[in-house]
Order: sequence, then C-alpha cells, then structure tokens
Amino acid sequence: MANEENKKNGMDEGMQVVAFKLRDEEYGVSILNVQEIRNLTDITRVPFAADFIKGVINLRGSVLPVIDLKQRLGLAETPYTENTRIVTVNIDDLHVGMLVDAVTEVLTIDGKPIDTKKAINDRSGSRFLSGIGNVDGRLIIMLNLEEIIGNTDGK
Amino acid sequence: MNLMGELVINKVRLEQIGQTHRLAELTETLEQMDRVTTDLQNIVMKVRMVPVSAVFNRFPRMVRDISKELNKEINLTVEGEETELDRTVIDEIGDPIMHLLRNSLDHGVEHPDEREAKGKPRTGEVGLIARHEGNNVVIMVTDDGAGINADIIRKKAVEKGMISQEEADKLDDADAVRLVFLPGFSTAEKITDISGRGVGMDVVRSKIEALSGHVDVETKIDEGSIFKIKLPLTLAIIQAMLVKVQEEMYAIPLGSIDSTINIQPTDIKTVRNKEVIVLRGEIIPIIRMEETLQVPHVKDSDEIFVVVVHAGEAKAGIVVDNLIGQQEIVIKTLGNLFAGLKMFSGATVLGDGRVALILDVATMMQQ
Repeated sequence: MANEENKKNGMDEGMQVVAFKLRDEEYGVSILNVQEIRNLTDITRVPFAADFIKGVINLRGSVLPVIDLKQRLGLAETPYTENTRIVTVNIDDLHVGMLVDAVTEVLTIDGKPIDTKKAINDRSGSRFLSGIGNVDGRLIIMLNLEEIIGNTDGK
Repeated sequence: MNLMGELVINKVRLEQIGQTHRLAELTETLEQMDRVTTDLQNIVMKVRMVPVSAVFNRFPRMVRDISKELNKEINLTVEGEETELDRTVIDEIGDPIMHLLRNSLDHGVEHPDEREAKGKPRTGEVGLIARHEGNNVVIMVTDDGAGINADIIRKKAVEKGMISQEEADKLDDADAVRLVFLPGFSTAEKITDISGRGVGMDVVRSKIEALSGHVDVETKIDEGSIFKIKLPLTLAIIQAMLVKVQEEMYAIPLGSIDSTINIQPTDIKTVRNKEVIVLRGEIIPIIRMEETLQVPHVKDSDEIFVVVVHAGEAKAGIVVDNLIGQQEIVIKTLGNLFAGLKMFSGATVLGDGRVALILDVATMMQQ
C-alpha cells in the first residue's frame, strides 16, 4: 500500500519538492502537483462546509477552495502572518489552495524516503503522510495529497 | 462563453472605477459599452439556446423499440419540447435522460399482465416533461409503474456494504430511495441489456451535477416514480441582487426576488414563535440570514432590509443588513470539495476581485 502511494505521489529518487512550514515542522509536496504559490488574499467563508475548509478565493477569475492544512492534519491553528502563503495544488481534477505558515524552498530529495508507517507509530493523521525525506539532516514530511484533498466526504 | 463572462466581470469593474472617479466622458463611454456588451451578451445567449426537442426527438423511437424488446405496452408522452436550454447543456443531457427513460421502462413499468392484476390499465404511461421553473429548467421522467421500494433499497445498500444497518434504519423513505444515486448501486434482480449494470444512476447524477444541475426522485409504490432533473437556464450569467450580511456579501438571483423592503425592527411579529412580517396583507415568514448562515457578528445594524423571495408558490423574507445593488454576475461552480452543499448554487467574482456566494433560495427556505 505504502509503495503504491509513493508511486502515485511521485516519490522516486531525486524528486523535487516544494517545502513549506507548518508550525515548526517542514512539510513537502511534489513540485509536479504544485500550480503556484500565492500571498494570502481575502478568503470568502463558505457556511456549512467542513471546518478545515476555510472558504474560497478568486484565482484569476475562477473560484478556488482553500483549506487550512494545519487543521486538516490535526495540528493546532495559529494566526496568519505575513509569511502565510496559499499553495495551490492540482491532483486528479481537483484544484485546491492550501494555507501554510511559510514556503521555504524547492528541494531535491535524494535517496529513498523513509516509510512513515515504520518511522512513526501509527497515529491519527498519518494516512495523510506518504513518507519522510532526508535532506542533509533536515526532515521533510511528504504529504499524501490524495488523502488530504481527494477524500473529504464526511471526515 | 467564458470570454463573455470575463468581459462582463471587467465591465462591472470598469463601472465601479467610473463611479469612484466620476469623469463625465468616462461615464458616457461606459454607458455606451454597457449597452454594447448587453446586446452582445443577449445575442450570444440567443445563439446558444436550443429547444430541448433537439434531444427529445430521438426518444419516442427508442421507447418503442425497447418496449417491444421487453414485451411491454408503453405510451410515451412528451411535453414542453419547445423549452430552450443552453447548447452545452443540450449536448450533455441526452445520455442521462436516456438512462432515466430506460430505467423507467425496464424497472418502472410492469408487464401488461402484472399491471392488469394490480388493476391498472395494460398500457404503462411514461412521461418526458420539460418546463421552466424560475431560473431553472426542470426535466422530468415520470412513469406509473411499480415505484421504488425503500425497504429493498435499504437492504441492498446494506448488503453491498455501502451503508451500515444503523444508518439504513435512520434514513426516511425519501432519503433511502435517493441511495440509488450512489455509485455501484443496482436493484434490478437480473441484469438486462437495457439497464441494471450497476453503472447507472450515479453516472446520471455526476453528469447532471457537472452541469451544475441537480437530480432527485419521488416515488410511490404501485403508483410510479418521478425523476426530476433541475438545470440552470443559462450556465453563465444571471442578474442578481448583492446583499451584505455583517461583513459578508451574498448574491441572490433576481429571478427569485419579488421585492425588497426596508422595515423597522418592530415590524417583525411572531406567529407561534416564528418570525413573520405582514406585506400588503400577506403574512410572510422571515429568515434571518445572519443566523441561518452563522455569520460572525461584528456590529449591530439599526436598519433592517428584507428581500422577499419566492420558490414555487412559497414566499419568504430574507433579512439582510444592507442592499448593495443589482448586478450581472457570472456563475462559477464551487467544485467537488463542496459537493453536497445545497445552500449555494455557486459563487461569483465581484468587480473588486472578491468572491461572493450565490444563494439557492429554494434550499434556504427549506431550512
């Protein structure tokens, strides 16, 4: 299962990832899934939507849903700062913006990412992770976007 | 069509700039441009509108063939063929309707002998009806057949592991019947060429929803079923009233607005704990948008504006803090992430770049 997920998310050796911060931890998604990175703009709240869906924004004339990634991963919310960014990602046919605390850089992860299932004792939220990359001692937690934005009914 | 939408958004933006700067020449040019774009838009719309007969035409033949194949006696009635729909919708709507019709023929209408035993005429009646309903076009596929048994649906859904027994018990009959729209659902006892391959109703639903429509079913055992497809009349541009509730903006389609009034807080009376207003001798229940939509409260407003809306026969007054004005808006879908959110029929980008949600009045009134 883990292998399959890795393949889907392009977790091969030497992959490029967009790294960003959530609280003090560094996370990453494959650069192939990232469309663009935007500054925080006005988010229109959508009543009755799930908690982690913050609302919608105008992305050059089209309407893009925005989720709070921290809330989705079960981390505590922190106030927005001037570093807060919206990372817009595509997966399958879904386009979603994810709120992150700061975008750090684009990294190349060499070598095999560590399997999360082995590294972390299974806890809630781990289905959202697909592996951990090691870049000179910096740990980049790779996200499983399909679970995060594809699988949102009733959860 | 998207280009037309962009043009309208930019026109509205220009108008707003014009209002802040108040240059006589600019205003004049803008008015001119407004007329031209409106004309252009009307022409584009007209060119794009096609009567539904374009798709309906092929169904009588198909129904005849299928009923022969199934040894059933069926009379198809087609109504409202002249109803017009956007070309893109027409192109996409054929398959879902065909599917619904096949379902009615195969599972709905019983065999002539069976019908006679039930005391019904041997010939089954199947209807294909299109008509306008506000800003929507409704297409209905009706039959006077066996209807859908909610208990069988519940049982099947549990058997297939789509829902648990507890969930099934909690559903009322109408909701249980709606389970047929879930992927992988087929109740036909035996699979036939015509329908019942388990790839049916969910495809119908996703196709209709892709057109920002909505499909629903009503059924009565031994009396028949009605499948109702509701589609937006125009895909893209409508007139809407923009309203403000606290700090949030919402758009209400002009098609469902009767009037707007400004009232005093004391004008709101209560009838059996429900708030109402009296307007020209009519008692109209009111909906406080701030409470219904859980809008964060920022400040108290001393004035009350009521937007009187209708859905079908029913009327309601929606209480808002301010009326911003009437505007052309371009409808954008909210996307899959908000599937199941019926309160809003979409969203629109305003002249200042912000996004406003478009209220689905009928759903709001049901709350």
